[in-house]
Amino acid sequence: MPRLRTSRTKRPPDGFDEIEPTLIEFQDRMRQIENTMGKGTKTEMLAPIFQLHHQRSRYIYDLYYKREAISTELYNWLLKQNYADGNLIAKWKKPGYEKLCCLRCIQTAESKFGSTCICRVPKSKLDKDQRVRCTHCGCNGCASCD
Amino acid sequence: MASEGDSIDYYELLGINEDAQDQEIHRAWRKTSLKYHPDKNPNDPKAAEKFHMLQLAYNALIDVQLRKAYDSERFAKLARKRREEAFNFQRKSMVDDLRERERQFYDSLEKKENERDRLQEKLRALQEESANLRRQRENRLREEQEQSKRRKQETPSSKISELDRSIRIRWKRKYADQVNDAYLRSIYSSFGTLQNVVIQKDISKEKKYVYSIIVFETLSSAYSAINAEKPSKIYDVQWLKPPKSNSNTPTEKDTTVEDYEEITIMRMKQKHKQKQKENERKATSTMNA
Repeated sequence: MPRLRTSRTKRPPDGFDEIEPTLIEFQDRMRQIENTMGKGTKTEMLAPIFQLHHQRSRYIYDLYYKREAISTELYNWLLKQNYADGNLIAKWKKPGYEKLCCLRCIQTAESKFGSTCICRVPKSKLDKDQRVRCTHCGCNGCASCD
Repeated sequence: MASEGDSIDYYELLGINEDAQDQEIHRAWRKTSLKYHPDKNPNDPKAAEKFHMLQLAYNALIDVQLRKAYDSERFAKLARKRREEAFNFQRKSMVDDLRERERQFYDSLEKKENERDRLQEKLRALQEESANLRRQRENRLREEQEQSKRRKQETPSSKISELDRSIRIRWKRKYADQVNDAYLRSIYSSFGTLQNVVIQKDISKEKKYVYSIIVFETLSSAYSAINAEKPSKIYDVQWLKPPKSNSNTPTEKDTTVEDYEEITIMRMKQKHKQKQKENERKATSTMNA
């Protein structure tokens, strides 16, 4: 979650007021998800939070790297304020990880046989009828070649 | 021969007790030697040997010194025999015990194997059950995805609902003849592709304004139409469905990152235009001054 801004906090860099409404909307949606936590397993309940976190990070990443619509200063400030996940973005910059859903899916230490999550497997490598749903964040497949 | 003689009990051979006197020994010897004499038993090849053994027994028992030595040796032999018998019994019981233990061990092994087989069967059953469950879950997921696909096909291509992409336009009744479908299309098609244009038909004389609804194909084009300067003859332009948040973007759960980016870019462009206009105004004001 982004840091709380108080009266002592420095003014955000130029261009923040243009993306602020969208970030506020993300914040509202996150609050809404947290308030309406449904029934089900822990992972099922946390999946929408993971997805929204991914969406917000992707929004900032695209604005800076793809559209080049925000300044480096603003981008660094957003990362510092935890509006986007810097570690996840660092992975997106690497070949093969462009669509990575969350960092837990590439943690080999967490799995029994030292493998990554099923959602990292390309659709072409899976069986025809096999439908995958990641246990960490509900991802349906985030291989770069899909 | 001597070794054979050692193994034979002389008292038994003569048929007397251990505490027999010399006379008894002599009598017994006479009796048995007559019985086993080779001349008396011509058909028995072992008769001579037996007779010789009787002679040895008599000689050993009649002499006091020899008898003492023989008795002590015999006693030692008997004691050893008893000991061996006791030992054999002990060994037998040990062997029996060992056999019993072995049997128990093999029984337990068999029991373990049976248990393992039972466990494996249980595991197999569980695996089959879990495989069935997985198959069911996959089928359910597939069905859900197919349903969502069907729903997507049924619904329009844009993820954002029509209400959110619609704007409401008003103009004064006196321009009712001039502002028509073609006029609205010519103005608003510059912002993006129009999906639909609906104009209010029955205009009563009491009403001051005429209304129209324009549905855009993308949210960004609707957004740009709202924020652009209103054309002449148009009184005002508003969202058909007022936004929930303080931003001018409709909050939709299905709004993609691309939509958000488009909106942000639009905001930036508008801000840039505003700055340019301000600069122009400043420039004109300085020129006038």
